[in-house]
Amino acid sequence: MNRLRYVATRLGQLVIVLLLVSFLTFLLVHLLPGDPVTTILGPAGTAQTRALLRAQLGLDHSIPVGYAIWLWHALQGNLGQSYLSHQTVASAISQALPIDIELVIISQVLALAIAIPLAMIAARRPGGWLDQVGSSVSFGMLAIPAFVTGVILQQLFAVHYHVFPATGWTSLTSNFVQNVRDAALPSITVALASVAGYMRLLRAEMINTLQEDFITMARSKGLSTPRILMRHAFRPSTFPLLTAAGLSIAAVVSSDFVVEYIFQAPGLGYQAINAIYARDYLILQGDVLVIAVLFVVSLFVVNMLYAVVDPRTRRAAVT
Amino acid sequence: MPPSPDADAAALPAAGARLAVAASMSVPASSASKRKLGVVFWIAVAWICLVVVMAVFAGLLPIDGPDNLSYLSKLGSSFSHPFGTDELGRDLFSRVIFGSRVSLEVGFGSIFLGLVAGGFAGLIAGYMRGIFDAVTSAVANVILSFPALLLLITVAAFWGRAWWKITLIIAIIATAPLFYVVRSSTISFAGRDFVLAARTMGASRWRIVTREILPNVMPAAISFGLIGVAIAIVAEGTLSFLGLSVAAPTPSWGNIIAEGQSSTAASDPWIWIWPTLIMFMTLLALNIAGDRLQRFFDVREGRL
Amino acid sequence: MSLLHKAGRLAFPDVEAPGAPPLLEVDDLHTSFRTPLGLVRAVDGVSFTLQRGRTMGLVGESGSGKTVLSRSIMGLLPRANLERSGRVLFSGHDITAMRPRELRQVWGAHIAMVFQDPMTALNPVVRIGRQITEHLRLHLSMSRSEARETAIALLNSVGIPEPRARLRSYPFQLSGGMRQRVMIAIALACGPKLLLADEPTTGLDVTIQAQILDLLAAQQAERYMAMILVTHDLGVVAGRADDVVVMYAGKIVEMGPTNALFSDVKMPYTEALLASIPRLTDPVHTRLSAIEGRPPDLVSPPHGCRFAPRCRYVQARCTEEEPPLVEGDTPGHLFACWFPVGSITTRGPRPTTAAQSGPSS
Repeated sequence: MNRLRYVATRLGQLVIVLLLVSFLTFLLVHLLPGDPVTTILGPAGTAQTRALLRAQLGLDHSIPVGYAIWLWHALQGNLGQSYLSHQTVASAISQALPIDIELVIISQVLALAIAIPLAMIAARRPGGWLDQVGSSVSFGMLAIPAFVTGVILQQLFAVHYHVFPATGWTSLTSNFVQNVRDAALPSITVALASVAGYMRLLRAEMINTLQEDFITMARSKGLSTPRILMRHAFRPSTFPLLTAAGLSIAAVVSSDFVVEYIFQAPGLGYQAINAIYARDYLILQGDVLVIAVLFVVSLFVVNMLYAVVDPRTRRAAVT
Repeated sequence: MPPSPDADAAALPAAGARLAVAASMSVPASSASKRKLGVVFWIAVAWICLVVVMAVFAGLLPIDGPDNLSYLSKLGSSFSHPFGTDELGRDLFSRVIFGSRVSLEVGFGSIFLGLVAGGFAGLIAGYMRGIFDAVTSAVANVILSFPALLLLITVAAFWGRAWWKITLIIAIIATAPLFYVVRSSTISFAGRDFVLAARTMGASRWRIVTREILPNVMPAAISFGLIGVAIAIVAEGTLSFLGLSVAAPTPSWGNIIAEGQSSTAASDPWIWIWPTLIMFMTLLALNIAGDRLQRFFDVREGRL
Repeated sequence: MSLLHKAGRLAFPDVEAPGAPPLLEVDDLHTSFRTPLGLVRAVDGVSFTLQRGRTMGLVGESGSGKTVLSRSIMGLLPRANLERSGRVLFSGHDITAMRPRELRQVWGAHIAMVFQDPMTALNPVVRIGRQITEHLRLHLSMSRSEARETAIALLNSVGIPEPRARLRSYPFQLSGGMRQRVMIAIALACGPKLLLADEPTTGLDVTIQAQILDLLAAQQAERYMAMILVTHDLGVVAGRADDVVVMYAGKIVEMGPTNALFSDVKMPYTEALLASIPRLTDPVHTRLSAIEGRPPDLVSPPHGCRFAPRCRYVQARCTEEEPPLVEGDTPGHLFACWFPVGSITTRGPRPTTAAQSGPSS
């Protein structure tokens, strides 16, 4: 019963936040200087297209009514169309989104694969030399923004050594090998940006867990250290990591602008940046809406997962 | 040292044994080392001060203007041009120093504003609780639900790219986490005995909040603030790198790096390596200073 | 048990053979922790022997060093910041000299421990089945299904209903008493020769305490194990231990066969501990006669007898000279006191019964 109420509360919050997110996205157009329709269409727009756009954006009405109209269109998948390429916003998004999903999955798997062993080694002897080296490295990595990592990797592995292509993207379905080569550098860049956070979190959590009675208990059973670390200490420590991964995935979706821009990977971020340069405001608005919704929803999913996966939080449902 | 060695020592055997028994693979780093800021902290602070002073007095330094084109392009390091010159023949050292102004203005400015607004709201919410707390917490929660960098980039794109607008947007985003830090810290101090003592002596709420709680909340707020400055500098740098921050002739770390790594400069990597290095050192110094302060004052993130 | 021989990768002589060493021999054991405030001498020169099949009660207040002693016997304390000397001979093998690899062969298989709080000592996110079977498979090289059947038999023997279904439970799904039974099953799994029970009933309801203690006693007798029952409550030991060891400030202050010791308590500290047991015959609202004062600072313990500052019978000599642990009139009954109970009259009222303090306001 408790769990149901928890889910209901969370769902309610999700809906409210989604409404707020969409409302702010709607308002963005109102931030444009002067008449938004003129700014978006430029002087070239015909009277007919101007009227169409005005209706689409809900500009004929007061802000609340306009928002309702715009939201109604958006819920039907109608986010307008680019006045430069005449492509609908929805189709532009559906082209770009798979690239983001691929980058997020590869990069986060990579990041966890690097961070988990390093954190476990560091937590085994806190304050030992391995721990100190690890924490210095993670500090250093926190101080390198993604755009710097991207530039360094690109200059090193593409411009200097020609291991991977510097820019460009081949879709997964057309040529798998080329796709992996294209995805390598952007994925590594995003992964490196996430590693330090995961590492520090898991290390702290592991150190706490290793102080627990049940670890002493496991030792008293004669289990080996690797087994204790893997079986008894790692799992209880991973639940915060799950939240972090969710947050990080959400953050990646919204912050891979730069990485996609550097490597010219035409995901949502790249599309949004180019829309800014080209003043293609409707594409930008659509991208913003999709990314923000993905961010909010992934936070929600992680919170739900957390409640389901950790047996300790299930207690509320049992007793 | 504790005032009563006797009382302290009596508690010790049990505590010592528990500590030793509880630790499994190893005993955590000795608690004595946690109470010192250490040399590394002071080196970090010195670097931050140096960067700030250079930025403030850049105009008075015996260096060329950042837009002075009178040199050969892509010169290597020399005495008169420590970092060499870029592809347009501008002195890179001067550009990196003048470029730090934007980064530092936005970084410190936005966190200062966020700290004032978020800190003020957090103090009141944490001390008064009730409806004010409920409302401010809900607002902060909504701000935190937004993808921050995306918000920054799009608002800058729709609204404009003046440095003060960027500062303001980052400040609004930063208000939420800083609010939570101050609020939870305030809640933990509001229940302590010295606050109760002040209340029983008839001190006004205002006096309690400003004289009793604020000084105790400051360390947490400032140590988180320093890390926040690093994050804000990265955010501004990202915008600059994308060409969405301050307009072109004005140097900033992000746009110097972006220009330096463009294809024409690929043959001379030092043009982007120098600004990258200075920015890296500054971010590292801010992170280290913030982290050491947190440990020194025993601020725990888990509590927040 | 036949399982034992399968487990014996380390060669342990048959303790039943004539001339074999005692199961456990602790010889002048010192265990200290390096802390910022100085060296904490948690166990300070403890010696005793324990034969197979016997139960020893180890009694003392919290901070008396009994938990550290029990973990020192096992060699379970983390080695960082630890200083130790003396020997712990288990079937003639010195545990203090063993390398971690050898220790792991002893732990769980030959010496097992029951912890105080089953809620924190059972891993909250690992199913009970795995927590029982993992060391069965490790030490006794059982197959998955063998280990499973053994686990069911174990849970059955410690009185857990529906053991088959319980294997899939998580610890939080059981009551406190059931959790402690699971922990006992885990400890007994590989058929240890020595069981260390560290305050096994402290976190439990009074009614369940007796059940758990009876279970431990029954298992101990059935398996012919030796058991060290660590507790702060002399009442727990009274009917269940063959021998009693009373610790104070890291030292043994009195020890002997249970009956001999209880019939003629010599050490004022033991007397005070006895007086602190609440009795059912006491009037309601009787104030518990806790021992006044606190256990001493183990960094720089008081000169002379360590209990002197809290002792009712304290004399000048007590603060000057440390009393040795010597045998009194009864063979096997040792105590460390210059003026044993009954040898002099008190200055204050004797704390023989709790009721003497009178009803509280």
